[in-house]
Amino acid sequence: MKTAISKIQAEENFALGALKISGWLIVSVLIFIIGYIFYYGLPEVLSWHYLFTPPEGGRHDNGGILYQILATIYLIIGSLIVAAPIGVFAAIYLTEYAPQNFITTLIRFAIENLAGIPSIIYGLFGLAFFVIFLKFEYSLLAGALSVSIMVLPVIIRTSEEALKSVPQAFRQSSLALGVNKWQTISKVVLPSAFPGILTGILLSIGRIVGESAVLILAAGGSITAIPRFVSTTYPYVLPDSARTLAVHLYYQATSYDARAKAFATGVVLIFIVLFLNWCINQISKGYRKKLAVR
Amino acid sequence: MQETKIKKYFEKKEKRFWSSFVNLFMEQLFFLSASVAVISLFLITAYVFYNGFKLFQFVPVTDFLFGFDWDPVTQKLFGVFPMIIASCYVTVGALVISAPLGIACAIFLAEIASPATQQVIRPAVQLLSGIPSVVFGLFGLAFIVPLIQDVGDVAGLSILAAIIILSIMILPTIISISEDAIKAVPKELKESSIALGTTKWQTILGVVLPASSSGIVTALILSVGRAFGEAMAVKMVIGNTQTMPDFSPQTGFGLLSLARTLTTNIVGDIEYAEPGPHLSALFATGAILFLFIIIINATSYVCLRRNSVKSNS
Repeated sequence: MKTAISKIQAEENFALGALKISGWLIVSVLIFIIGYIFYYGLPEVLSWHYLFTPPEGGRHDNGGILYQILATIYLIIGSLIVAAPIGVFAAIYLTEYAPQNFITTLIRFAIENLAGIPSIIYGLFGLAFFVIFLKFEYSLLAGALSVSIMVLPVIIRTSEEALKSVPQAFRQSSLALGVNKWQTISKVVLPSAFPGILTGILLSIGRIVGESAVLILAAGGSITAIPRFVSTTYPYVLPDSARTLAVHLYYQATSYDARAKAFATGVVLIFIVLFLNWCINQISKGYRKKLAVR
Repeated sequence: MQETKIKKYFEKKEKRFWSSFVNLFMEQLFFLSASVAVISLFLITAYVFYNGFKLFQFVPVTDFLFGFDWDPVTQKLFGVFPMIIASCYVTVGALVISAPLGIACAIFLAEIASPATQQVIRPAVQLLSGIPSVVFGLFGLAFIVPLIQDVGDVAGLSILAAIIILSIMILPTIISISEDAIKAVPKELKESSIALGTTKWQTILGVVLPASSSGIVTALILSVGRAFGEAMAVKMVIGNTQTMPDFSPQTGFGLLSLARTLTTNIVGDIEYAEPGPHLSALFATGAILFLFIIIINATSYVCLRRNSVKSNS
């Protein structure tokens, strides 16, 4: 009896210990990866020169990443201008209007599937549709439009969650005052759901910044010219081929002589992700506080 | 006096007309936005498959699917069979490493860890899911590949390196979805098990895991989809050779040999593919990849369905 109990006890300790180790193992892997990238990349970034000089190209990739930062910012703006309104509107339709019918099922099915498609497929689509069929050539515009379809499910899902969490009583009391549905949505529902929607947009910025496969296929990779936001020739908006930070990192890392620079670009990317995560956590903290007060 | 009253009346009426017009207009706009998802999915499917099928004017389907050689420029050979095998190999390998680790971490987070510990591990998992795939690729290229090179006295770029990188990348998917599934197990179930005098581990093994199994399976299937579709990180560490991986024991049953997956075929060749059979072959590769992903997604959909039916009854 006693040995049986001690055997169970031993098994218990061993199993719980293993679970604990696996949890901490993942944290240490993360810390190791980030530490490794920072160890080799941080000195270059801290010299600031790297961030604010234009790239010169060449085998050793002299110069900095100013144009890549610019291209990344353009890409974020370009994709969000398209994806954010469409995503939020779609979420509003799904939570506030959608009847239980075939079309709604189809929309939900489409969103589920879009979320599961790998980015390389979005890249192929961008290449076939935007670059070749619509004749955008390799351009940030083609990249931004492909990426905006890719982040659409992210924005729709998080916005939907946010809209669902707005109490039904808010809507009813607004409607009882005699205002119509759009006024209720714009004045009551959207403001209360705003933090959640913002979270979705920040998440999708993270996806956009980290995306590389789509952009290699749809946005091309020229580096030495400064990308323009608008132009007088077709396709007018974001017309230039450009490398974002993630794509630049890929080219740097795969050419042996420029790999040291890739770590610096990696540090910049990790900083962006850290900053976005910090923002998201702050928002959800504030949101929880607000709910607690209520 | 009368006049201002009438004027006010019409102003009010006009305002009401406009607001109801905007109301109706916005409803249509919302519907259109939601339809964008359907249209996009349709266009993506149509374009990828249409462009891929163009290849079969030049090459028979069986030569494409089961051909062993990929030499699109000189010999015009478009066989992707080794890539299909490599894609499956890499995915299964990543799952073998990260499934136990991820599920264990999810159990730890949901059942054992103190709130303070959770506040360390959960942001770490969140951060892990946010790190761009090229950064993982860089880490693999700079750290794991040289490590394999030194230990195994081989090229370093290998299936094993891809498996290691992928297994790290799919961990967050497994952990977060499994954790949700484990947390959804009713408290009564766990308490009645504890009341029978079982230990915590016995409760986890005997009650919590079986009750959350379909959620955990969904997590695994979704992570399979992610691993199968990952392009950049794998491209950076797998070497991207056209040949069939060498499955002899000398190369660790293929682990240490170089390979090319479906995704890396697209990324690697797109830079020099000429319009014509070569570009079509890349689209066809994408179509095969897409088919695999559709099957994986459908499986997870069925799993979720079964899950929700079960919890409703």
